[in-house]
Amino acid sequence: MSSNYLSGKEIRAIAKENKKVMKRLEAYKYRKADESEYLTQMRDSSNILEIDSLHTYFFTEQGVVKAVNGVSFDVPQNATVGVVGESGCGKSVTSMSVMRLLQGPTGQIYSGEIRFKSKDKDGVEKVYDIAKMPMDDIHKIRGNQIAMIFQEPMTSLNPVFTIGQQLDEVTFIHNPDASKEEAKAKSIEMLNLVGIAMPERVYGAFPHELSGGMRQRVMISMALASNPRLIIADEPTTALDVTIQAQILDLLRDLKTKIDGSIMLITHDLGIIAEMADYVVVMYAGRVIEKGTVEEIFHNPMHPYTIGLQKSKPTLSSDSDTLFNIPGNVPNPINMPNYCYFKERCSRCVHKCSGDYPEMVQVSPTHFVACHLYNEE
Amino acid sequence: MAEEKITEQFDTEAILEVRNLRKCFPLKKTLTGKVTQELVAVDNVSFKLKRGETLGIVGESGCGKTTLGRTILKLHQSNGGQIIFDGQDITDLKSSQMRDIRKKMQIIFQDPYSSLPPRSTVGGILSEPVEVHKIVPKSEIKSYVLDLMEKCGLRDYYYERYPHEFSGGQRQRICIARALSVNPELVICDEPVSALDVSIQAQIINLLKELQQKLNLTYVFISHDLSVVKFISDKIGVMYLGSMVEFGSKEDIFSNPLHPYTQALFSAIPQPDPDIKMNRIILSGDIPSPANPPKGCRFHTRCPKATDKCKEVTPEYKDYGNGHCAACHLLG
Repeated sequence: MSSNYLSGKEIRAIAKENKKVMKRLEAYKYRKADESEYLTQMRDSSNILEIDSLHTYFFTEQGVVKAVNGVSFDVPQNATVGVVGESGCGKSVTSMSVMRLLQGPTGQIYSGEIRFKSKDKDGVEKVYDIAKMPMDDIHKIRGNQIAMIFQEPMTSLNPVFTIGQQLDEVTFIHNPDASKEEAKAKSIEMLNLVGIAMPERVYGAFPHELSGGMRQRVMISMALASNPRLIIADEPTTALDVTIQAQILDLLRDLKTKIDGSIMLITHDLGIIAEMADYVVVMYAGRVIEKGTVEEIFHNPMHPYTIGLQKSKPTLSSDSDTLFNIPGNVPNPINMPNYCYFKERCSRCVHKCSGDYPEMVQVSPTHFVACHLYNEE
Repeated sequence: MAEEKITEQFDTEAILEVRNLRKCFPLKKTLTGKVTQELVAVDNVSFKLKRGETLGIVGESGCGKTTLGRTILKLHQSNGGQIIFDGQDITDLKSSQMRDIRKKMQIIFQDPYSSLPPRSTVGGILSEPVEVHKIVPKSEIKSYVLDLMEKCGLRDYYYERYPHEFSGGQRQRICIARALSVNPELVICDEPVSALDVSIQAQIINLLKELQQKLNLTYVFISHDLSVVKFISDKIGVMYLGSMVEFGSKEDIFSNPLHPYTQALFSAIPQPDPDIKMNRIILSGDIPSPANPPKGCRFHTRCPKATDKCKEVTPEYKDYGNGHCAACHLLG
């Protein structure tokens, strides 16, 4: 158990190495660049977002945490993609990378591409590689084309400003010419859209005066204020009660058809995924282990982890006496092994599993799984 | 003498009986200390629990389920009603008299990250209650604790380690071991799995079930997750704004929910199957503030079936056969 602690010498060596890499990545992040440098092409024109072998690392004192280690998936237009996994599997970091909200200099996109099809006011479509965009240009997309709904409605609103001031700000930032009246009208329209009764009163209220469900509605209306093409909802209902959760999910479903956009829904609750998503991405320890349509994942799960995850959740309809459980814990994110990350917890482990990390295997046009059991060679 | 008489009437089969329990928290006081406004966190709750059974208490946040658990343990002094534990009325016992009884009733808290002292080792955490309550002679404490750790799925070399070295699931195992170290009969589990991941959740729930069978424990399992409650409980109580709206055996509650709130609560849970498209009852509005609860039936502001009577008269909590109780006017 000596590996739990590092010696001073080791820590200094890690810090030196990290500093070098972080300096390079920070300089790249804040460089001045021409638009042509990050213009690119989509692989499939029906997608709105394509993430391609994304690596997001955190350079900590204990070593490099590979929070996202080669994640690839697509978000098609007008579809809901659910990203599911346990805490620490990198689902939130993936969304933060798309929004470029990683806390620097520790958190950095190390490599990979995030292609996003944006559409400016004149309707011209351009494909940007978000991972290569300099921070000065990111406002072309962030909050405007891609909006995010955070997990904690209690802490993501500013307590010292009224709801109205915070909503108007969104309009002013993305449309500097707007007058005060226009901004207010727009904000009230947005509050109406998310089903808040008495929007005029809420417009003048402070966040502490609202309940959790109302605050989450305000957050959603803020995300919608600039007509985004993609909404990233990071555990939007985790902090809410079940009856309020049902209201918010109902609202999100409604809005998707109204605004004609896509949703990337991040959650750990398989029930929410089954209900909301068209496509599902299952993540484990920073990697995608299985992805497919919602029917494929729920009716024909292939990866032992996906199967275990579904069996270990007690449901209202099941009547078994003991729950299936996956033994052990999620592995330590520093110094990940070379072989399959799930090997130690897997009940169907074969000899091959000690070898290299399994490649993605395609089992149907939309269904992919990363497991040696399905690798035919 | 009078006390003796009452004790004889108590049901000997029941390990825990709660009668019309009430707990208020003062909100406003005058200068002289007189309470002018209070929040009724637990209002008129009654139930009976047999030895070896599990009672699941569900409800949304702020409905008083945690306060109920703490009041039963007398971590809060109740403001009315009776708590009868093991044939003894413990409602008005002094804390010195409670000491012996505390040994028999323990609690597992929700957050395993903040409920363990960061400066003592696992061995220290687990030995302290054993030492205080003199469960085994001093020389045998260590072997007793190691035995207990094994029961709860903790390795013996964890004895010298500190809580921060463990993951959430492991810490919850330490909390469970600590609660069980004094051989309790009743364990109150206050949302023991809600801070954990799904795969770890299953491990802890299975552990709790296994220990119950081995040690013949009685659980009061407080949770907001209905599917977990269904899995572990024999009896279920549904709470809304401080009062019990429905109570019954698991089979009764799930096959035939009587109260509209219970029905809405069941339909609100997302099912992990894309083919099930439920006919959802979506409740409008938020939970009213417990400091200022609505008149009449407390649920009438959100109830889809509310009538004029519901707005005026508080419904009576009645037995509708087989111990299945509910409080709703619509049931007649």
